[in-house]
Amino acid sequence: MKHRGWEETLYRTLLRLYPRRFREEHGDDALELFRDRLADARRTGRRGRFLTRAMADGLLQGALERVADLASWQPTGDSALRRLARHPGHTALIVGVLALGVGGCATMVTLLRTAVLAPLPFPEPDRLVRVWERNTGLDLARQPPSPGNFVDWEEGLRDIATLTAWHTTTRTFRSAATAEELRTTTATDGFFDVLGTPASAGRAFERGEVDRNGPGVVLSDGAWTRVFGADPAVVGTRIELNGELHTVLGVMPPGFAYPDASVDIWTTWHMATSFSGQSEVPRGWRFASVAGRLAPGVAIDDIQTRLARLQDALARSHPQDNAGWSATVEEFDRAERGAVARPLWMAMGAAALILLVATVDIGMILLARVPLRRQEMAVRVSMGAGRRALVGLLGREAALVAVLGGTAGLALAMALLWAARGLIAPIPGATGASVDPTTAGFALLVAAGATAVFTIVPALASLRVAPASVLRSSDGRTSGGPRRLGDGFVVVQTCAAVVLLGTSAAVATDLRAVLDRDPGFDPAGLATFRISLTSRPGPGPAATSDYYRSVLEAVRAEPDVVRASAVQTFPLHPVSNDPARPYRLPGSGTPSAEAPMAQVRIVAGEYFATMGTPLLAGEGFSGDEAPGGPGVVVVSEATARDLWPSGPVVGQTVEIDFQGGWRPYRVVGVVPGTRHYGLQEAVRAEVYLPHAQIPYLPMNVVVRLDGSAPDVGSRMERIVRSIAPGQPIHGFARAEDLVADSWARERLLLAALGLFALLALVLTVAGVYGVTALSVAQRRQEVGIRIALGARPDQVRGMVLGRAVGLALAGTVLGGLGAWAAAGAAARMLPDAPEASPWVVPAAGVAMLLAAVVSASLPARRAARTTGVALLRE
Amino acid sequence: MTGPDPDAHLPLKAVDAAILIVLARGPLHGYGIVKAMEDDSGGAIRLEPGNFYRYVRRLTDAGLVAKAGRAATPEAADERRQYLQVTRLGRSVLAAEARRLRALVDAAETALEAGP
Repeated sequence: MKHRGWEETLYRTLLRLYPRRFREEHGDDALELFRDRLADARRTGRRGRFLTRAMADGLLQGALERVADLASWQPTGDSALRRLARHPGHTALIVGVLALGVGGCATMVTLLRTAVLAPLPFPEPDRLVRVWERNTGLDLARQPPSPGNFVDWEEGLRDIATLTAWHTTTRTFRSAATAEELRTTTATDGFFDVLGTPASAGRAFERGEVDRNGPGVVLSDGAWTRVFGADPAVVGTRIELNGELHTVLGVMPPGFAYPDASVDIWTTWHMATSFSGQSEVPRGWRFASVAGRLAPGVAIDDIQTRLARLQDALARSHPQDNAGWSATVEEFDRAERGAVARPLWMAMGAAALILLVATVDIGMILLARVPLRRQEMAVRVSMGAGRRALVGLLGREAALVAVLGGTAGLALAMALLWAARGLIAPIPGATGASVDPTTAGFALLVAAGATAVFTIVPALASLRVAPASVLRSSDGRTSGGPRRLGDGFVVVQTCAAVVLLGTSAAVATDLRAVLDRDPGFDPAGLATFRISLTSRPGPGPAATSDYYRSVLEAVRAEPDVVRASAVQTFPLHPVSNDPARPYRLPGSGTPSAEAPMAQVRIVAGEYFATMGTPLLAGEGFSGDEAPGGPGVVVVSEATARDLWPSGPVVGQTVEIDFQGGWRPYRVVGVVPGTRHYGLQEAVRAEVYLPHAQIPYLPMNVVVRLDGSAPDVGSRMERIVRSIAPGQPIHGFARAEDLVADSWARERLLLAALGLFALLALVLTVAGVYGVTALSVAQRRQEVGIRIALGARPDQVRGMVLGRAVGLALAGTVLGGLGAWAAAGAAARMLPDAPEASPWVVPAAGVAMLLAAVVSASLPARRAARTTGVALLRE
Repeated sequence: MTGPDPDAHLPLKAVDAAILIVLARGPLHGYGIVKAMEDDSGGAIRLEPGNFYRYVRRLTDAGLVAKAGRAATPEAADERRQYLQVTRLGRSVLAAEARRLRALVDAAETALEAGP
């Protein structure tokens, strides 16, 4: 006899899911094929992979074959389907409730699997890490490291890790035919080695790339197709970026999108040439992203220890830039997907609770039928059916219900994913999420488990009663067991419902409070686009400011433009150059590394008026600040309060370490802080400097529009090109869209929680009604006797209602505690959120109790109308 | 005399066609068919047992494929495997599908050559 492994036993069991006709015809052959493929998979070392696929496929195909079989089926004899078809309303109810529970779970599992659990698209992702700088004194965590420190880390850790640094901006690509701005990640030569992804044509960077070959560029598949017509001959040619020639080294495969999907090209970052104008690679200027690939066998703790030691030494050797700064290593997966994972896991928890509420509802529906089934079972037993046969019969019914409910749930999940595609799209990695066979198999398994527990367990309980006693009693009803079970159901359901209601209400109020915040500017009607000049547009330092002055004048001439101005970094805009620099009081002599930081914003034109930001004090910029003249600054409220807690601010002088070291700036205005990084983020200290004195080349033009003409972007492009032919614009965006995208994760979580909370409420109301109705039906005789003995109807009503509300209260209190904990966890996702109002969770509990009272009052009234005479007649 | 109309089965699904093509070379057992399809498609068609036998069930129901009895296989001489074969109808359906595809290819090429 041949040895049969557990895998085969499992697959043989799984084949029981298929219709009998299919099993008889092809079951043995399918098992043989499974055995042969398993042997193959063992030989190639892919057993686990094969088993997952084969089992998921088996489950899904089994369900589909069942459905196909049912479609062509005619009811005959005593089959499970025929028995279910005898009670169509009842069956539809169970299948519908099951579908809601399974559908919610399958939706969330799909999203989680796509956006969080799918392995990162890099080989051996466990060896990847991200590296940050941290300053506990200034309360700054996960800060991008400085290029200077990176150079020392790369050298000092070479034996245990390959490191790479990058930053993302844009470059102007010019050819005979076109000029356009390409989203560019500038990365050190180790970038593609760290990620481990080879090019699909040509090659990626190699070690010492620039020293050996000069500046090179790797194209994304998207840019290769869009800009170069997918021409393979472009590899090896030279293209012009920002006026410099770069050799096209290769093209990356279509799925490669790091650091994000917007990147068109990767260019080489050669620290030595990039900072050749400075005495050394800068250490105090923190803007690089750093990742690394650990050498085989190196643990994350090893590199953390070594890095800490290295950074300690750097703090001692370069105290002016590094004092107080340490370095931290984080798992790559966590760094990249942690922010998305948390809300999705929370929503998954909500989906699991809904499944619980739904299965409890199913349990209730079936429990209500136990007395009826008890008679049916007793009849079957007395006609000679064995215990085994009865369990088999109930099992087949349960399997059928599970397949129907599971399939309907999957359809619901697909519909939900489709309906919510707008909400899902901004979640990185989740675009195009669809139900895959593994998720489908999982959903069916969950459905089967849920139904099995609730059909077979009560049925077995009912079988313990001797058939004769059941048949002898007038209606087959017995009190006790089922009622206690029903009471438990009410507690579980109200508990789960209150957790969901309370949490979603708390998240909704938190989010409402966040969204009601003043962003510090008025996004309605505001739009922006970016001009990335690569060189000064004329001779003399004033040429750049003159250029932007004429652009703003031409833009203002458009009939629907109310105001126009420019800033080097627009709130929430994906392309930005957003330096934070140290500031201090004159004469304090605080070193740069210990001074607090302010975000520097360079502005041109009537910036505050365009943004709708009020000047709280002072006159602001006059517009004719002299290049090279005495420095002037507009400070945000937070900066002002930090420097001068009391007394006048305008007219004071602040020192800022920016462009050539510490220099004094006279304050000419105070403005409120802006939520530059999103409404949920904290306001940072900000200082505004006039463009006339700091003539930055790349700027965001900001326009306030009257109306919302769809062609604004193309009109702006025409205007800009009319001033300087061949100068492209890019990154056109409306401020309202930027704000909406900035809370996409929270919005998805809120939508999921809200939907699940609503479902929980409906299912629980149905459940409480069901249990109360059941208990009233079971206590008819007791109630009748009480009334005969003189109990008033309102006393009876109170008794029934009191019991239901008591149970609901127990569940509500338990659920309230759960909601409190869950709401706290949710609030931590909004780091700067206000303290959640303490009444939100209790209010959800009160709402649940009211709903319980309403749903129990109908059966209670019915009980109160019972008369002894009616009972005696039965 | 008129038999069942092969055109009624057109167009064939890709996997149905792939199974018929493998069987048109001669009777074969399930494992052999799955391997051959994988090779023919360069790994693009990879079926797990549950899915594969649902295709077989549909093709058998449609009368395009039939069981051909059990026989020993070269790989596992100790066990006798269920062989499948293509029926006469299956062969004519495959031929009709090939004619349909050829016409499609001709039309597409003509249109592309004449195009703007």
